[in-house]
Amino acid sequence: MSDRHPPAAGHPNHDNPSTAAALESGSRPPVPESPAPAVPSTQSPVSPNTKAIVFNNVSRFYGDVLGVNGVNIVVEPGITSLVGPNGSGKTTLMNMMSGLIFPSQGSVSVLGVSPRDPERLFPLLGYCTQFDSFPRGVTGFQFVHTTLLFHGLSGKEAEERAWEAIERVKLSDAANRRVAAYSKGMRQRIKLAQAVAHRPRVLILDEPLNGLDPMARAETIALFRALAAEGLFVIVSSHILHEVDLISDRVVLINQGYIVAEGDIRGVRSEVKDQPMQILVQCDRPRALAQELFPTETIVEARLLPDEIGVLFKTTDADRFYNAFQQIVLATGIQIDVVRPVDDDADSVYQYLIGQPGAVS
Amino acid sequence: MAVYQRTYQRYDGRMLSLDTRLLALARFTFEDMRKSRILGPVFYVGLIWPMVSLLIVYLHHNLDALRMMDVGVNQLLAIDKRFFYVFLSFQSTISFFVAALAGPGLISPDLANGALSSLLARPVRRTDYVLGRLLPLAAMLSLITWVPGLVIFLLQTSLVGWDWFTANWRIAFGLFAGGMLWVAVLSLMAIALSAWVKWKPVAGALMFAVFFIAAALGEILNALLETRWGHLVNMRTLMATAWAWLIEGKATGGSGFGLFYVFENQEIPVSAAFAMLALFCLLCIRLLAIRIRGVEVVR
Amino acid sequence: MTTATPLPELIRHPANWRRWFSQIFVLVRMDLLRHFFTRRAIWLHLLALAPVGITGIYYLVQMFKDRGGSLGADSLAFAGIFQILYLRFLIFFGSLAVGTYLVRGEVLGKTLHFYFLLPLRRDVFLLSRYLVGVIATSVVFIVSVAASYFLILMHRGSEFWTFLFEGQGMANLVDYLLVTILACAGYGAVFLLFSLYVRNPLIPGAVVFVWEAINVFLPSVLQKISVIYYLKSLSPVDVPADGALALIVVPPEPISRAVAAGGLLLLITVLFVLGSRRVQRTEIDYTD
Repeated sequence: MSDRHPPAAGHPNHDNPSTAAALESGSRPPVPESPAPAVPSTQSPVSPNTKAIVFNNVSRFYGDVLGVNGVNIVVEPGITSLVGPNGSGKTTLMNMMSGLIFPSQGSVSVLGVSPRDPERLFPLLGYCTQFDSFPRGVTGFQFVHTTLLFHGLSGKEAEERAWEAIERVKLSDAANRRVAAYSKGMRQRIKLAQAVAHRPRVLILDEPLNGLDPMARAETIALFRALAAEGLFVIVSSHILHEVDLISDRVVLINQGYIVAEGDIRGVRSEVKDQPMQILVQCDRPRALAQELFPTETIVEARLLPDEIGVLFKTTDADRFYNAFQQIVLATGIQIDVVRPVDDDADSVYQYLIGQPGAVS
Repeated sequence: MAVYQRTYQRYDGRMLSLDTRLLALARFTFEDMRKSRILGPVFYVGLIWPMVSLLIVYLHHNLDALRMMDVGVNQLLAIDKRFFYVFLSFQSTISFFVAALAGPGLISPDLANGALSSLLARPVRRTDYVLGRLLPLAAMLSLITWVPGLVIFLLQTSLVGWDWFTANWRIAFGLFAGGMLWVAVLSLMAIALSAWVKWKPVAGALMFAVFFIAAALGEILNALLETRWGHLVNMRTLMATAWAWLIEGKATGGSGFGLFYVFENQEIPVSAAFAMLALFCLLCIRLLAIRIRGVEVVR
Repeated sequence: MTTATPLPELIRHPANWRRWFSQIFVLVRMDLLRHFFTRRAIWLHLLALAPVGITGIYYLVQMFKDRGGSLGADSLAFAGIFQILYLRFLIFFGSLAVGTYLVRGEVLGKTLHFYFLLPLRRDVFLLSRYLVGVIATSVVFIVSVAASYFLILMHRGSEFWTFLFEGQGMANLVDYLLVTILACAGYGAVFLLFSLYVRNPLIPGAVVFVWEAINVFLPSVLQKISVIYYLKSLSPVDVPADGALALIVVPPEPISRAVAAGGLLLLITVLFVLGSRRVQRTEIDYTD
């Protein structure tokens, strides 16, 4: 294949206002979907749930080792993060969604399509895997372009979309170089480009931020947010818990093959009743505030911060605490600077539920 | 970041010399070879004939045992040049299978897993790396070829006397030199093919291909051209010629045994045989030099 | 949840066929260039060129020092080379290495998942890989067979050219080339199927080699489950042989060439169907 070049200004793609605007903003211009396999008109598949990804009592054995056990989850549009320690089953779930492996028991459905039907599945799904190997001798452009040809696009359209995806991940300058010569971060980005190039509805990303520098991480996170805002299902696995906080609408915590918790972080945190919530209050009279709050029996512990700039409260009932807090502040006129929970993030939830230090890769 | 504890200290104890560090690699290579479930049994099979040969030599000099078994001395194999030639041929055949099993795993996995650059980033020379991988194989092959051969020779000498040794010293020389030559050729071939092919089974298959397909091509050439120079690509004939000269002092038709045999009127000059073997070894070394590199340049 | 639409339903629609052919074309073009016409395939080319080297030496010797003989004797010599060296060894081992590498090579290189993540039926993927293997081996060995054929006969001068264009020469050559393609196709299918079940290609190689070697001793039904059974009946020139050589080159129950070709194609189809079923169940596992 010869080297290719991105479409220059004046190219129809750039001159199309909606497309140009989309490229600028990073959002997707409206395009027709790839043609699905033709089926006889007498057969119309009945799909019980075409709006979600469903794991129905899924288990997977690796020999005698249980990879995942009895997983029942429904993934909605938006960014869903799979969080868990190494070997917990995150990649197993992702591979089952994409048909690379099959469940030992149970079933998986992606927008009503079976992962055993690649012709129907992969126009809908893009997967950026953890594997860091590439077909030998390909350039970045060829890697993305060839994939698009399999989606039934014409050569010209595939070329345009390939450049669009490559520009989106900021790899235009390196697109005509061999992938084998790429840095780790560049290889990660070209995999991402390949996963999004055909404009799937479901995007599965296995540790997509691995190897990316801080700037690239921020840009990639912005890309995920943009895609999720367009209605995509974005499923991400990550060990970087503060980034999980930043990007995720929901998390699925998994440990040793079991789903420990799922939902939005704050919702999950509020369910962890055996760990009192920690709320930081910075104010001008922390001692006075603590003295007023203790009789309300809404706190189990209050700890003054160094230099008495604030106080850290622990409470088992956040709603009652906030009610009492409001009343006391209004009554006493204490000047409040900051009120924020300090343990309703992914890291804290991870430690409470899984019990290992977070942010380990 | 301020450094204030300063408790870190580099190792300042005794360091091994660069020349002996390859033994560390050899140790690990040997451990990998030991994990093979097939290699061990095949190796032990290779020790059966030496045991039998030792027994034959012993029985030659133990009339009481022969009388008990009701076997005459002339019914045993004669302990002469032919005896040792047969021994060497037979053991070399088994050693070929040992090399085909053990050889592919020497370098192929490092290539397939991208470990070569990691290993060569240590203070280890490329030569050390190759020798470290090759020595365990060469040692294993030696243990089933010339080493037991010399043990049998020494046993015969000890039972017969020094005169027998002075009359047959060439046998010992032939066993040692012929065995070492075979071990060198086989080891280099195994490791060179392992370095060129990432997939272990293919490397093993190539060893058979080099042996048998090259021999077939040589035979076809001989048949077409009514010549004998096709044997120059036939490893078996080359080794048989070399051994016959080393052990017996001459390489004539009818020399050899089993796979390693020189047919009547199919002899090739001894110098040509040694030259081809040397060329083959140089080719293997050249292949290794090209392949064993710490970096891969991608253009 | 939908299950995959059954193949019999899909094949009724021409649009699906167009898409499959398009995908096959893209895959074959991509993989053929990438795998088999590069430096990595040099050993395959060396294997195929080896008899060309030998026949080339024969040609040169004959040109400078005519050793006599006849066109008929040279034809028989080539027939022997073809049946023994090419069919039994070179094409066999070439197809073994290529056929087992087609899928296992991707597993070894940890790149198989790229193909399984495409909107591509797995049997279409398998067919594409198979075609890549057959094309690669056929091209290489066709060139080798043709070159050897010319080199072994060409020194006869005008006698050869008359034989080639006015006699049986061209027909024989075309037959040899077709048999070469069928041999590559047959052995390629066998080893591609084995590679889906067995990691170590030496095992199927040894099994098939022995099976084909003892083919003549097997019952008639079992004889038909081998590639060499059909290839023997397809060779244009019979090699006069006795003893052990006869066991190798003489077909035990000669069958017509149409039946032999049809039988081989049927065998290939059956092997491919079995391979398709297997690849549908294949999972990505890159551990050793």
